[in-house]
Amino acid sequence: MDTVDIRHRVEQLQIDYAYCIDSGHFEDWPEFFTDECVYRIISRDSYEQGHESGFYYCRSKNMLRDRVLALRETTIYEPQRYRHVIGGTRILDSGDKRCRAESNLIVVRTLQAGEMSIFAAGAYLDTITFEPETPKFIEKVVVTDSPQIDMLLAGPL
Amino acid sequence: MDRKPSAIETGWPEEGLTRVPYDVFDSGEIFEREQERLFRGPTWNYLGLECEIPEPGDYKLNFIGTTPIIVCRNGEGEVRAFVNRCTHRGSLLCFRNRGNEKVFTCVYHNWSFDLDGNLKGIAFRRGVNGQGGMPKDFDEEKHGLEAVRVTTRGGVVFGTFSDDTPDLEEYLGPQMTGFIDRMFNRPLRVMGHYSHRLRNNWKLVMENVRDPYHASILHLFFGSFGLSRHTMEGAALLDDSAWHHIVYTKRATDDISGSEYEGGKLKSMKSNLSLADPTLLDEWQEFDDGITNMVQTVFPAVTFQQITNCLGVRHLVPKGPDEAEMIWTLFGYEDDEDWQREIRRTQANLVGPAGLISLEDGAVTNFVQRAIRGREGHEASVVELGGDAVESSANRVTEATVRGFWKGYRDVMGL
Repeated sequence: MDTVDIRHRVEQLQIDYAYCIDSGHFEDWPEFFTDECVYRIISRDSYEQGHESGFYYCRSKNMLRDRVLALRETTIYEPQRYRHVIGGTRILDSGDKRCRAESNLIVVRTLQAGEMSIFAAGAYLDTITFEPETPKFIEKVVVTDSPQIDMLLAGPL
Repeated sequence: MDRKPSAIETGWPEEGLTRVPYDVFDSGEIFEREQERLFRGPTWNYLGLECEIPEPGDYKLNFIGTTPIIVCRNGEGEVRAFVNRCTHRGSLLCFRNRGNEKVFTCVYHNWSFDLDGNLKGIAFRRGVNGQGGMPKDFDEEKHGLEAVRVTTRGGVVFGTFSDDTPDLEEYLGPQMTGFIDRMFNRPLRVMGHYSHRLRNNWKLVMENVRDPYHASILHLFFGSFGLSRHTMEGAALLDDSAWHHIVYTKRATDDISGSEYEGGKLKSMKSNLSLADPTLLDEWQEFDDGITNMVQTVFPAVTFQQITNCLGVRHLVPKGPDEAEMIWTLFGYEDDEDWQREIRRTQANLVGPAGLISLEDGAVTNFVQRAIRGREGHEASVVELGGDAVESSANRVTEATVRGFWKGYRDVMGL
């Protein structure tokens, strides 16, 4: 693959990923990951200090599925929507089989009464595999610039 | 708009601790009185963990109520705390959340203070060419930083503004002190740190934390996966003053047959659910007493928690009558092995603003804040589960622990 091809595939993955979450299709969200994967949401301050614990820590696709199970069955919160804007992707260490990529991320959260806020800003630190055909995340670390969460963080970022 | 008289003028409802006037959750007047009587009064307030400031000169910032505080380690290795306000013109002295300094120098006019809070330097103290400067009789000794009285136990740092606050051990009583010693029994290691902005009065959070009634009802995950149910062995404890509380449960000690948990009678029980990756709930028995869930508060505003092996501090900082910040510190021990650290970080999924068993708390306390608006008279909440008792019980279908908070509150606030 040439660099244009890699960039295209990574960006398409990000677009599909954002669409999945923003449209509320949480059941499809784990399918963006390999069976053995790591998904974390952690503040930049904690990430830079090397802390283990953040807001989310899943270390298998099944743990992602369990998050979705909890969101659907046991979690109670007001209806709300996320809108992801992902951009400024930098491709790092690319090869035919995998690459690392870092992207900027802004998530606007809209509550049912209409209140909108910039809920999260930060970066995706991704490791992506191109095998098999469909690119998937081996690791996705969501590093949030703010250490603070407003009220609650229900759905994934 | 006419201002309604608050509970300061009208008094507490005659029913006593089983009623809480909603005024206390949104009155600006009451909020101001809390700062003076509660947070600057005879209470021990959480300031941090000693492991966060291990070396001389290390400091971190925190708050007691709304007052900004510097917590540091002085040259002799002792923990000190001061109001983070330059005694010259009132600027924040430190504005980075943590760091290491030999002296604290205010950026505004370079007044500097040593690690014991003494004023050590004033820029242009003697003026320039004999002109200007401070008066010759200006007394530096009277212009040190406002000190906070500090005590530590098991590496936990508490501070108080009042000389009337008894020693921490007397303040807590033997049982509560024993539980501090139980968890803070050896050197700690911080594993995570974050903040949770709550759009509600801080006391709604303290009620929530001290309320074992809601735990397995609101938090469906809790009951569904058997983490905590009222049918398990446990206790709701109060010290003699009732200011402080502990609720604990011992998992795997219950039989739900014949209870409301059986057969889906309680909405909170979804016994048909199972985890795709049950290692989420991997655990080991950390304490010999068999306790798997333990929540302890030290009045007024800090909580220590053990959710199986996820250990943490939740420090509540009031930001206004209808806003608060909960600052979380998750920790393990220095001697943890890698597998133990991995279990702790995995269980951290259960807690915090994204926590599988706590996410709803940020919603429900805000629901109260929104619902009490527009009330007509002096309405009050009902805190009557378990009658009007303010005492320990093995039974956790009680709000005695919530009433204990209000007892402490009224004792100090004069309400």
